[in-house]
Amino acid sequence: MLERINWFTENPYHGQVRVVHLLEMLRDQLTWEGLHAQVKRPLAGLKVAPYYGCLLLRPAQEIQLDDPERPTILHDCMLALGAEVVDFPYAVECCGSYLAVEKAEVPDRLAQTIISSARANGADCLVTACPLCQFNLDYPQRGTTSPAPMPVLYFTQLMAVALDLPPADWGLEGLYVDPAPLLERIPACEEAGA
Amino acid sequence: MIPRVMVIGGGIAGIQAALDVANSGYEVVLVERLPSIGGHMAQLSETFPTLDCSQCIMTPRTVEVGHHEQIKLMTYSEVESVAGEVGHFRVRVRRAPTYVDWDACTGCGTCQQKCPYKAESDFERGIGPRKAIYTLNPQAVPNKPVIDPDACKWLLTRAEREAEGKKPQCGACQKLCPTEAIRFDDAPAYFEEEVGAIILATGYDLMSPARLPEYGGGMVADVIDGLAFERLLASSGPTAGAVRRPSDGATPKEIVFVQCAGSRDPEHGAPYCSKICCMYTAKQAMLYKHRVHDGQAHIFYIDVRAGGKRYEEFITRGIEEGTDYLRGKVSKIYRDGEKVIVRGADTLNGKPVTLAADLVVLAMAVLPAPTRRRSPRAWASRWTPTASSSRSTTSCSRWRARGPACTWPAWRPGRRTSPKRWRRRAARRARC
Ligand SMILES: Cc1cc2nc3c(=O)[nH]c(=O)nc-3n(C[C@H](O)[C@H](O)[C@H](O)COP(=O)(O)OP(=O)(O)OC[C@H]3O[C@@H](n4cnc5c(N)ncnc54)[C@H](O)[C@@H]3O)c2cc1C
Ligand code: SF4
Ligand code: SF4
Repeated sequence: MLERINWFTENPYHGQVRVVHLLEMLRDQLTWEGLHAQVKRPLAGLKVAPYYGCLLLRPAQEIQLDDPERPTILHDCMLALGAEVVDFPYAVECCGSYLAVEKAEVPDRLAQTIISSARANGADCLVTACPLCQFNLDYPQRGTTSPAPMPVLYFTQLMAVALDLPPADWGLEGLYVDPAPLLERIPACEEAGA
Repeated sequence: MIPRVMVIGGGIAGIQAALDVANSGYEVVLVERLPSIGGHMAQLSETFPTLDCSQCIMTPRTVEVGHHEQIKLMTYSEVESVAGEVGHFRVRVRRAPTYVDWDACTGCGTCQQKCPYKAESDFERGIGPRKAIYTLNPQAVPNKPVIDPDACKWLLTRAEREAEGKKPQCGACQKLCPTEAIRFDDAPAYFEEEVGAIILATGYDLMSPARLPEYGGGMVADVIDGLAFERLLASSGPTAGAVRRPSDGATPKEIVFVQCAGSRDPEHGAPYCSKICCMYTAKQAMLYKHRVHDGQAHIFYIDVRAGGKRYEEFITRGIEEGTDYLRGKVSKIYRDGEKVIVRGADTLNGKPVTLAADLVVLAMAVLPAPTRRRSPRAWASRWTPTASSSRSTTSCSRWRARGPACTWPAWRPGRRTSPKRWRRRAARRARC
């Protein structure tokens, strides 16, 4: 396999690169305490449901980033940002992945169960660590009004808010469900507020 | 040759072995790790395939062991080491401190009644408490209590309080015991026994449901294992035989049983079939139905393995009495409000199924009884590697990792076998 790939890309690769996820780096290098110390605008009162999907967890043997059935890495990240974490049973479910291209109704249906479960458990928004999960959960909610759509954010977007980066860098434009009303509820920075 | 036999493990298998040997005229030493004998059978309610009460079958035997002249009963004890060889073993047994003088104790039970501190009971599988001073059950043989040093206030506060020059807290049992049998300064005792043969009957343990988080094991209170459900059914159990779920004590109207939980699952659990769960699950569903007439039991199974006398008939009886068998695997179990949701596949009609249950019982895989950390090596102390069993010729991973410093036995001691013999045996088999 490797041989074929190397032949195809003409750019020999020997598998010596260790790939880490940003969350892994935050956890192991910066540590959650380190992240917490950087937070300028804690996400107080924001009830976040961490949604892991497959990217961080499967195949468990190969990824080994966190417990495949009872993961905590996104929980810890959100707690470090000062948010309130909501557990819900569909946190490790599959979002439908690339079926979004071929059979859009499958991710639509999955998104519906995932989101209604998060809502039933009292979440204000979902946070994901995979752009495709984010899309698959967000897109089906476009234009809906009832029940009120639930914003789905990528974890770095919440980090940007908590670290008080300029709103232009938050990158919220691409989202289908506007999280602005939700984020406005977060108390502003202390310096800014003073 | 010493005409004396040691039986290790006082479950029903060890009890029967001890009685058989003793009744043939040999002396027996029965070593049991727990404070009393009976093993898992003491936890069961009624038994398949006859639905006889487990205590009724067992109590005559435990009592006989307790009184038998030829049987020396050593409970709360474990084997430390074995030396010697077949015909003449020297076995060192360690008896854990009981903190109660069993010769003085009459088994009146006052201490257990009055002890104000509770701990989680392994015997009740976490669904009922026990006191810090306890016997496993009211019919225990021997019916003498032990004190749990991790739960007893006196023992826990002793070091601290004595450093302050004060008396440790509590001590209720000591004050109230009519025969003054409490000994807080008890220490482990060691015994040497000489026997000619050893019978191992150390039994099994169930895999912890926490090993299956996708089934809510260890997270959802109303997901319990088979033995816990036995305790719910047993009239000697914490609910006196009424089926009540752990979370809120309500009577479950819908129960889902999941067979092969952890068994036949090389990924997560044990690669083998545990052989007993098909039968006891059928039994539990039946007994549940006898207790809760308007309840419904569903059983998820891969296939039903009922190999035994009158076993198949027993399964059929369960189905006739209304147990709903669903062929397929469960993928996910989680709590949703009051209910426990079980999602799985019905592989007979090829459709996913979702059931909203009040209680879920996992038929967890059977594992060999855990030994104490140093036991395997203790077992091996008599095994000196000889040329034919030299480990350098084996593929032992421990040996590879540790090299000649490795003290782990290359072969399971007691089994006099070696690669050479395996090869010889394989060749013989190939010839037939
Ligand atoms: C939920 C459930 C329901 C069941 N229902 C039935 C039923 O209805 N009918 C039926 O026929 N069977 C039933 N069984 C099976 C039955 O429980 C077992 O087959 C039987 O109890 C095995 O007895 P045993 O003596 O071999 O082992 P155990 O009962 O496990 O006894 C082993 C004993 O050895 C002791 N021991 C272990 N290691 C050591 C050591 N190193 N040193 C000293 N002592 C040690 C243990 O403390 C224990 O007391 C059921 C099993 C389960 C899990
Ligand atoms: S000293 Fe108190 S806590 Fe300890 S066993 Fe006796 S009664 Fe129980
Ligand atoms: S449930 Fe039946 S088939 Fe599955 S492991 Fe137990 S005995 Fe074997």
